[in-house]
Amino acid sequence: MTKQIQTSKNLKLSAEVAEYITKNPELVEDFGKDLSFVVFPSDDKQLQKANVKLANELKKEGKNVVKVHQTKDKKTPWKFSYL
Amino acid sequence: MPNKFRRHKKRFRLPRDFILPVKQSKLIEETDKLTRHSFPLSDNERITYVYSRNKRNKITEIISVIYDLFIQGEWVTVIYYDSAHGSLHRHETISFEDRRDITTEENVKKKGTRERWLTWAIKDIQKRSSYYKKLFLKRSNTRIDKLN
Repeated sequence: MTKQIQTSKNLKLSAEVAEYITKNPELVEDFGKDLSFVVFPSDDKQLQKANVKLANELKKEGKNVVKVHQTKDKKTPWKFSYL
Repeated sequence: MPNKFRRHKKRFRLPRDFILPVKQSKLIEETDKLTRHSFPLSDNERITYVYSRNKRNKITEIISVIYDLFIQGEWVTVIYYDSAHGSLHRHETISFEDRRDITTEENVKKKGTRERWLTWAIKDIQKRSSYYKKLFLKRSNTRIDKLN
């Protein structure tokens, strides 16, 4: 996967996640205040692979990385967990 | 009450020299929580947003929504949004060499709540990030063929 494709896919997903977080701030409250969110879509294995690499690099830099998993549940489309 | 009586009713008016207190815009209180969320898009692009919330979890201030590029070993802000003076505005960095920014309210959302501004700014960056990047790189004299 090229960087350009990864960027454009992550852009779209991150906007959705950001909107979800602003509406439901309590979901990420326990994780801390300074967080890096890496999105893992349910149906794109190539992006998942690229984002695992990205998340590991961020972790090495000492950042608080939160994995955002896409679910198929419409009520809770995103789930958050620590890397 | 019939209209003819209402017409002659004396209206209450404040004296001309009466001073009304000016409504102050809310300052960030110490109790407001500052939140910083970053979304890495690839290893050389990221979006970060910083905002404050009050006890009721309502957004009180958008500190910034930032679009950064990693160029020649450092993160450089291409554009960012903030609501420092009570309205949302955009700051565009002039170039890689000149880090001053141009502030504008042109084509920026003016109405709505802070939540709406925040999601609008994020979506604007989502839609136009490649355009902002292209303009920024064009304005930069340094030849940046590959973002490393």
